[in-house]
Amino acid sequence: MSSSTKFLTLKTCDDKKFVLDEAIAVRSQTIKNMVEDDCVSNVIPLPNVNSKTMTKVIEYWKKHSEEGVSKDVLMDFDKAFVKVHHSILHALILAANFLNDKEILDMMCQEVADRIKGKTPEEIRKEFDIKNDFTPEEEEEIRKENAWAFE
Amino acid sequence: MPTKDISFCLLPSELIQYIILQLSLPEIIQLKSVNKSIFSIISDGDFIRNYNHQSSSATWLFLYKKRWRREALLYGFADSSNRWFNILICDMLKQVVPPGEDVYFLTANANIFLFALNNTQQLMSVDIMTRIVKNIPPSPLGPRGTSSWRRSGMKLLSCPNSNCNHFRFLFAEYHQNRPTLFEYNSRVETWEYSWGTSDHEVVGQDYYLDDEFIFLSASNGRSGSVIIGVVRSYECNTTITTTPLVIRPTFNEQHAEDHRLAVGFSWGDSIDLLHVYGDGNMMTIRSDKVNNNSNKRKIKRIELWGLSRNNGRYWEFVSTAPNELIHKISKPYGAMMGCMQKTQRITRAILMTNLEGTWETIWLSYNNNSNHWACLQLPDCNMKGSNLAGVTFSSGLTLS
Repeated sequence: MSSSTKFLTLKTCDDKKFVLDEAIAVRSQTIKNMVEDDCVSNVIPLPNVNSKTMTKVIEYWKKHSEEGVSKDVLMDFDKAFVKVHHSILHALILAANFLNDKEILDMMCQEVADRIKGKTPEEIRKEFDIKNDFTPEEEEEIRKENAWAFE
Repeated sequence: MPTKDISFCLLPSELIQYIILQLSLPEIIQLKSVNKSIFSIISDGDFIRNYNHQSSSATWLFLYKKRWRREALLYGFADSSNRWFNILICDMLKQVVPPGEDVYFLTANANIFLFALNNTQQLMSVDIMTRIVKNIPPSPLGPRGTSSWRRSGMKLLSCPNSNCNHFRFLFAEYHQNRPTLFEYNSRVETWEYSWGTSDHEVVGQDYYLDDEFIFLSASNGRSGSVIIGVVRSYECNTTITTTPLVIRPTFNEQHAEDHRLAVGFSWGDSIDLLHVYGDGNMMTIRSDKVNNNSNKRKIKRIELWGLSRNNGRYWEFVSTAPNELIHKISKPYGAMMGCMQKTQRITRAILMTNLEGTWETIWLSYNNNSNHWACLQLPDCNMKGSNLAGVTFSSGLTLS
């Protein structure tokens, strides 16, 4: 490792610390801006991200920063990466949004969209643990107005 | 510190909107009925504007299939979602279509679908979002059956204003021996027609690259085509303001021989060569018999042609589909038909082949900027044994 390698310490909302090569951490536009504006003290607080989510983000950053990894390997990695419970997907979306990492954000949003596609409203509720707060009459009204779309 | 599960509805609304923008309209409509907070996000005015803006550049393929003594079905395929949607419009059609009527799907744009009825010789429009079904009065050519409609170049233009449900319907045909443009405006519920002029002022106009014109074929034949070009106006409260141009592209034999291209009909059966027309473009599909079996053919070569620069006097060669692409799509077939569309420098064609009742649908696209061809073999939508009662490209459905 070259002598110029700098490390940053990130602190998540549950007080866990992650020490990370700056070159990797700046995949986050938010961290990059902090580094460039020279407002990085010893520890960068990440008040909106918990350690479990940050571990996943760092796992992604490291894999995508490795040298000599083939496209196929990365694709397999990404495929496995998004196969998580929806609560983790949502946590990653919030984290990617806060960290301003468009790559992770787009990938996660696409995954959520893919899980909605081709499902009936009831299946979507089940997939994402969403509570139906419509009365049966209200729901029927929406269905009736848009009957053409309900295959 | 225990971490609470973050449910979908607790994401910030701009992120939920971002996710929903990845979906096709039928999926979004269904999503509306999942829960109240999602309903209000989808009903938000800014979201609707964003979605409709994105949707206006999307391309859908719609096809109407019929099975004997069964209800016809309208299917839609979006280039972004890679699946077929069954658009349930039968209940809407039932309001006005007499039982036993033979319905043919003519064209579509945004949420408006146009149908022709063969027995009563009527035209009608269906707006799938507002569920308004309307009869269209007979055109100046009088009431007519579906077979006459299948010949002419036509275009439906829905008003780009999302609060307006009006549309204009244009078609080109010979009337009193002159190429004529007919236009119906749903706002005033009347037809107008105008004869085209061949007296072009626009010398040097590069028709092929110009999206400002709408091109409709009045006739296509062995020696060339007669096409009507009219300046595209977007609002529904304007009608034909400029005199339509009559363009008569012919085949330039010399050019064809130089490039050994597939124009001209002198090299054997005309069935060896299928022409597909649309938006001032022509696609030629050359095929060979499979093992001298006269019932089965295979695609050999596909070329794209456009209107030439000097007032569209010739069909000008644009590009040939690469061999790898031909190899990929070349399967034995019995019959083939196609349709074509061009928007924003992308030319798209649908080739539908039938072999003993089994349909294959191939979506071809050509990018005029990058000179790149692409093809998509669409998944089957249960077409086996069905008849095709209309196929057309359309822009994306819109929310209102």
